[in-house]
Amino acid sequence: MKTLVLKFSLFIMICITLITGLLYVSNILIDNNKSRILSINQDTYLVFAGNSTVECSVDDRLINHSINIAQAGEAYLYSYAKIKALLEENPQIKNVFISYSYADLLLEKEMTWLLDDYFMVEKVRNYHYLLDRQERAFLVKSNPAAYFNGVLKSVIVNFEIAARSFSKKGASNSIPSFGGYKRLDRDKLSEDPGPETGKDENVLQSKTQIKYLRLISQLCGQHSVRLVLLNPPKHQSYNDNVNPGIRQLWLDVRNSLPSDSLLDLSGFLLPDSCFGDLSHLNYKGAMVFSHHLNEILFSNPGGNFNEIN
Amino acid sequence: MLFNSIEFAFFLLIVFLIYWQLKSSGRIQNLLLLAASYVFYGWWDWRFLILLASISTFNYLIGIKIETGRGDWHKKFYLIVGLVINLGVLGFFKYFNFFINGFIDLVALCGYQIQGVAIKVVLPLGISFYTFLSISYILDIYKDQISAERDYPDLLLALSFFPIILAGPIQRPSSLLPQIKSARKFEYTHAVDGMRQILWGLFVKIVIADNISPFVDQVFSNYPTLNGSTLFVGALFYTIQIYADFSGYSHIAIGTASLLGFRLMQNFKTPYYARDIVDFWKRWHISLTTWFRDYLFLPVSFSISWRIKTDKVLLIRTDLFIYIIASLLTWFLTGLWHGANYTFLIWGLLHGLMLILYRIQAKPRKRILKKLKITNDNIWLLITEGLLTFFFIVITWVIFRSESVHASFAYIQRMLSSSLFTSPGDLPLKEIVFAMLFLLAEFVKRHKSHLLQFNASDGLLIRWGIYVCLVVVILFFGGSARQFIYFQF
Repeated sequence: MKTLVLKFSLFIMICITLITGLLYVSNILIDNNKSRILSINQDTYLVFAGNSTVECSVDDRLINHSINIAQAGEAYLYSYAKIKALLEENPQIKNVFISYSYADLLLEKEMTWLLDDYFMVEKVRNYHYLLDRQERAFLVKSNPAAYFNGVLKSVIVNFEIAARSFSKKGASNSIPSFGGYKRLDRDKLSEDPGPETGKDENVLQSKTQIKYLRLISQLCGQHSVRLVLLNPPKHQSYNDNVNPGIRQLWLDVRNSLPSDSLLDLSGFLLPDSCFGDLSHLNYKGAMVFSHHLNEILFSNPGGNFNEIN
Repeated sequence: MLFNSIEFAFFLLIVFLIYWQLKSSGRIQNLLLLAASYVFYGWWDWRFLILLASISTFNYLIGIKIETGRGDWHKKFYLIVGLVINLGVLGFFKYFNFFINGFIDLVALCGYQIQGVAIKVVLPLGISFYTFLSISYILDIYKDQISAERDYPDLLLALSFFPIILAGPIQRPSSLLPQIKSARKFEYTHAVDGMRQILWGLFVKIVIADNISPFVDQVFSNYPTLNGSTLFVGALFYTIQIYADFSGYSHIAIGTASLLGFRLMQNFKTPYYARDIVDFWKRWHISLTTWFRDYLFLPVSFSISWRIKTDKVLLIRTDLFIYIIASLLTWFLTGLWHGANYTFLIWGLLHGLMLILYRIQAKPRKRILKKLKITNDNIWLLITEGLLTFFFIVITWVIFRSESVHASFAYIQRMLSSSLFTSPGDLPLKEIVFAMLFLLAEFVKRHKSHLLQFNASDGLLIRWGIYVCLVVVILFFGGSARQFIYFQF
């Protein structure tokens, strides 16, 4: 038995050494190419970030000077890391639009988007190289198994990102594994019941979501970038059924960020066929909404960018 | 505690190290294994430990009663009590909702409405497996094939042995108890083989099954909007997923038992390379198939054959008639064993019908082949029959996987429509590559009990290189941890 234990220990050590080595190499590769990976076109100065509501509704090909980096199930912690990295590499950025839907501030979202095994593995896998020590410590403390699983998976993603950056000639709006507009083909209005989280007094807010939204606001302030809280279109029946407690929380947090703007387009009227579900636009809705957004942003006679106030 | 979790890795390491330190006393080893098995099972929900202990205790007592019963009538009486209680518990936990809903639907058809029946019975993990262990135990005692176990902890262990309690292999007490009672010696080669099986099982589960799973889920939940070719790929993927998931589990279970000095039966033998449906069932979930064969199919066949004295029944040869009845009953119950859903019943009955058809066509097939001068081992015949069998299996897995019978028929109808010949949508390339490599590796090593069974001539570097590669692939490419499919059965 001793032989088996010894050989097994040796085997584990070989595996650990190899895996650590690969992790190290992949991190070095990413760090050395960070600016090449994260540089976007010089004429791109509008960034759309956040979760699936922005991911599916903003087609950045239809909005001048913009890039969509939103991704489904993205907590503000990851948006913060992404925006921070982008702002550091791209001083031309003027505005950041962050998804600000009613349910984004709920504890339920923190439990899923931030702490759930599946989401943590997926997000850490994609964004580990962007996370600071503070964020890493928070994630390790919250769900160590999922975090380390994500870190291991990040090795392949890092190699992929580095490989793609080598083939990238100059800056472009394509950042590997960084989110982006997602075309939603489905039409399942009946399947989304909306943000039903009980009675008013039971609305549980996510302190982490709110904290990182504030950090995003501070970050934008430090870079003299205007932050716009964007509430993309929702179906009428969704808006009608938003719990008053959730709406109040949403308003309170918005009011606590006076230097930032709110672009509440949740009531933008669209036919049923434009919705993927009650809270997401499908590709038809995204097309109409993106044209509309482009008009709002560039409607002046000179076609210059209108600051959102 | 899932086999593919960190908790289980530590649990197994601790049990393994303590277990072999106690090798001087087999009794203490068994007590340790019993405690470990109860911890393992209780990890999921400790309340069901009471159920497990109660069923085991009941079978311990009824086993002794059957053995010591005065005369055949007494023995039979105790056997029936044992069967009724075991099946009753299984029926209550597994089929209560199914039968209640069926009853409500039936009453509704007659124009009456029943309201207020809304008991949601939680299905205890592994209940189908340990109930079958219990049933085989008391039936074997009744048939004088084994004697009733007098050592209470040993029987508790045989009915709760942690490597097999949740999803098999259904290692009957008649073969497990002798191993429990004999002194176990640490065998290096046996333990190494166990570790290889665990590694292979983890690879198959985490890299193949768990990576394929999201695509399968997406296809089966959106089938009305997808074209035939995508649905076909979804069905093929599910075919691979369920095999990788379940055979992965079995490899880990067998490997874990090997580390503890036990030998469990092989549960899969590259089933998708089966030539025909009979061959398939000799290779798929062997422990369940042989269980049904020994405790249902054969007894039913013998029982009918003793009662029929004529050469033909309903214009059918008696032997064929018996085969049809016994097969339909066996496969109906095999389907029902998998779960309380009509999809499983239809899946089971289709396999039963296919086996009957196979038997009916055996003689005409032989004549035709002789006439055409084609030998039975003709490669093209093998490939054609193998592909037809595989296609049948894929179709039946669609029924097995679907939420309802209606959904399964709609899926198959859409899959076999003209859109089958259109280009499928975005396919997961990485998963396709892994699945193809897996099937290829299975084919190459089809004569071995698992893929990592090396020859003595294979060098250390090659072996260790393969192990390290598998570990790296598991860690870097593994899908998100999912429960084993067969836990729900």
